[in-house]
Amino acid sequence: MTPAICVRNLYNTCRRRPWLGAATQHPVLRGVDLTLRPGQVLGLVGESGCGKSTLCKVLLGIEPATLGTVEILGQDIRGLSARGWKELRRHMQVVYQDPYSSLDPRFTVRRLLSEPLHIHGLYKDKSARETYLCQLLQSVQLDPAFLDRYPHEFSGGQRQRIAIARALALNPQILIADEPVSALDVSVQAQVLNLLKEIQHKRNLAVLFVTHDFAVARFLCDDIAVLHAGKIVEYAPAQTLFEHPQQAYTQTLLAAVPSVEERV
Amino acid sequence: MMRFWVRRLCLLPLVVLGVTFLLFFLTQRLSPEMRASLYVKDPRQMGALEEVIREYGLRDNVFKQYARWLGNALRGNLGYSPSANMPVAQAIKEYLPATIQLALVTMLLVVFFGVWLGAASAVHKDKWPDVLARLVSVGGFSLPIFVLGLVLLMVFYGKLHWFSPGAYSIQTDIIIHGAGFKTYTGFLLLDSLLNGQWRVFGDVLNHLVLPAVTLCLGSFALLVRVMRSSMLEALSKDYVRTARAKGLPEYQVVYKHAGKNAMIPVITLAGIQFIRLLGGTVIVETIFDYPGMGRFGVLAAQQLDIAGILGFSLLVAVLFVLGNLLSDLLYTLADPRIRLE
Amino acid sequence: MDKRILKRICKNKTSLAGLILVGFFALIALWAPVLAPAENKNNPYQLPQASYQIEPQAPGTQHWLGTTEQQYDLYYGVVWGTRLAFKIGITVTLLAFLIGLLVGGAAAYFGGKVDETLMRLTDVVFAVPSLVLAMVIAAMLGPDLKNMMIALTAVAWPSYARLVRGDILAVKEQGFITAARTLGAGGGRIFFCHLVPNAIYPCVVVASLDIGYVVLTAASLSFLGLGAQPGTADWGQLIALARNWVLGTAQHPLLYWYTVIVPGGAIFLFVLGWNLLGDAFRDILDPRQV
Repeated sequence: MTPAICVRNLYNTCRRRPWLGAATQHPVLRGVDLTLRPGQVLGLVGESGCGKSTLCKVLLGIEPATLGTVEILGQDIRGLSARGWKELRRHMQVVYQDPYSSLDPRFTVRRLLSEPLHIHGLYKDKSARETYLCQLLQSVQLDPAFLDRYPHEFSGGQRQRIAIARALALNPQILIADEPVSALDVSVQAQVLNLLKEIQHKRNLAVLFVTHDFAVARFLCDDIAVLHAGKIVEYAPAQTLFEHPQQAYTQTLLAAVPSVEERV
Repeated sequence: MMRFWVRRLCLLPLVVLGVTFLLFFLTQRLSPEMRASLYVKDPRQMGALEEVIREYGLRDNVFKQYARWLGNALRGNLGYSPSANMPVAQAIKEYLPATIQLALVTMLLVVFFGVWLGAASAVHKDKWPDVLARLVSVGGFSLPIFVLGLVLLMVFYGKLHWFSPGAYSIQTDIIIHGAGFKTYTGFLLLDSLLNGQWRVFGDVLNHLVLPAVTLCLGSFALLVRVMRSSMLEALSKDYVRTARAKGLPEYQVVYKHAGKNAMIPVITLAGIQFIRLLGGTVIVETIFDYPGMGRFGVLAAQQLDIAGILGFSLLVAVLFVLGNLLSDLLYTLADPRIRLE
Repeated sequence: MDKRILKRICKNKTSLAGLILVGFFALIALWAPVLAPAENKNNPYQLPQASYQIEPQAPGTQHWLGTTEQQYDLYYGVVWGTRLAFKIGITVTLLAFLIGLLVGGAAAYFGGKVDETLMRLTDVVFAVPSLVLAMVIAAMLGPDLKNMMIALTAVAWPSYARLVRGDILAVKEQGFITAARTLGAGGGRIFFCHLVPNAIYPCVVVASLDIGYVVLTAASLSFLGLGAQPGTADWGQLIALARNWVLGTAQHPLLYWYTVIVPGGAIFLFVLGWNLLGDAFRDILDPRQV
């Protein structure tokens, strides 16, 4: 079975060019190996600045890899044509951290959700598209009557549901969730997490769940990879990782999350 | 942070060079004969234009001519201005103090009355001082200063005979150009005091009132607006509530606690506005026949006096750019949270 | 709650006043040929001259708003001056905005050296107060209406260039642009469906509200004799004709009030209308700004 995402020895360097003087190379990712199987929920946990977001950007083709290979659904993304990327994006979608900036404020929900369909030429029949959009909204537990509203009329949690609905519109196999709940209130976080879990279950999605919060990762993920200073320092099933953390770094991180122990 | 200032300093001369070159480039639209005629002081020499063109190299390419002008300017020679009937450098020396004096008096008026009206309107929100302040802040932006200037002239000079145009009266003219009057600074207000001439001081101040009031207009409107909103914000802060809860009298709460904090943005704004007044002086000095840089610039522009225009623009650009730099500096000093990129 | 409603009403009242003023002037401009039939059909902006008598005439049956020095009819001047004000304001703002859009868009799109060079060019224009620079440019080009508009455009475009550049850069960083990319949207779609509506429409509104300021600067130039020539139906020019008469006569110091108040009032109300409208729109576009 081809893995959904397969990352081998990935390096990424960020180039900084000051106004005076020569450019400096600043390594962000240094040799990441990662595999995401179809239907698996993999948590990518790390502190801020450890390279989580950069890894996402490389996977999404926003930033190039300096070294190493990335295969998505068996396709090497290096040297992938624009057409190839477009095709790939049909199968790999993303939910961003900040639901306030990731939705174009000038689009209605209808336009937001139909934009991916439009781009990929799906559901061209008007009534079929309408039914599909209503289904999408229902699947994220929103009222189909919201279709003609603008993003600013919704709360953060509702916006994030809209963003999830947009990601699901293309019926992808892979979902990258880049800290999807960390910008939300704690009370809303649980709802959105439950929704994500339910959707993952129903659609058998492969999810790469990026977060800095161990409690959240434990709730949702099958396996957890701990990223530190651009390297995966530990990779284990969620349960094992929490009960027997092998690396000193993971132990320190876990020790800093007292609520987890208390909750158990 | 340091790099930002170094960069700004390096860009300063570039910007000034850019402006003057742009204008110099525009002068090339005029034929060499027209430009040559500016060097000719006696109409009888008009036949010798070709010689003048050759002597000053007026047919050379624009870069060569600009370099020559710049070289001379650096040595303090800005050429001769026919509109002012004296060398440009001398005209600047003569007119600049008068303009700075005008701008300073204007700024004093703006800050004093602007802070007062802005604060009063915030304290008495929705009562008559507030209504007045809002009218001023909207009207001030919309009333052209030349209309205000002419109306003031009509009422206070024509009807009431309180003030008159110009920089000083004939009697003053005789005194300051007399033997006993020494020039210390070039600023008449200061010099008259240093000479102990109270009547001259009063006369000069009297002539400054109308131009200064007219010149106030735009900056005044802006300042009232900013002071009002800044005071409103300060009044809603916790430390004001604390001061009230302590039982301090209301005027102390307003002026010591709220007022002091509300002043910070206003003072930095005043610094910027001071240099912005330069644009307004052009019109005000023309209306009131006030012998400053603004009137010099207008006369030079009207009479197509190239040396005068270039000298005037050079000076204004230098002042303006330095002023902007200074106000940026003032900003960062006043509010350490501001970071410039 | 009550306060908020009250504030809304207040805001609406002033912006309504602005709208009425601008609308009123727009109607005058549109109906100028009806309100004041032109005698010289080829150039209606040329003021008709009743006689060559120097002294201004007070408002009366023949000249509703009086005449200026040399008998230019003030009523005709104000009516056609309104049309000219719109013409100048709209032409200059439009041209300046287009240039600003090109330059600012190029700077934001290409970045790096292009950005640096273009932005330093705007610095150069900003290095002198706009009225002073416009005055000098107009003088060099030679004082007439067309050159005045060129000068005004030359000093107005840099602020739009900065505005457009800043807005495009800010929108480019927004999450929904990346989101559109990851949906598979192409460059054209991102630019026209996301960048342009979010970055440029606010700029367009802000720019169009600058018409009042452009007209004010134009009037200043004409007043200084560096814009429209004597005899043109231009407000600034009409006020320049009043300069010799503001002091009246010894017995009647305010005798010629109308020579200043009529054209001056027209400019004031016109600019006031645009400013009121502008304040309201800036509140709507960017509620964070005080």
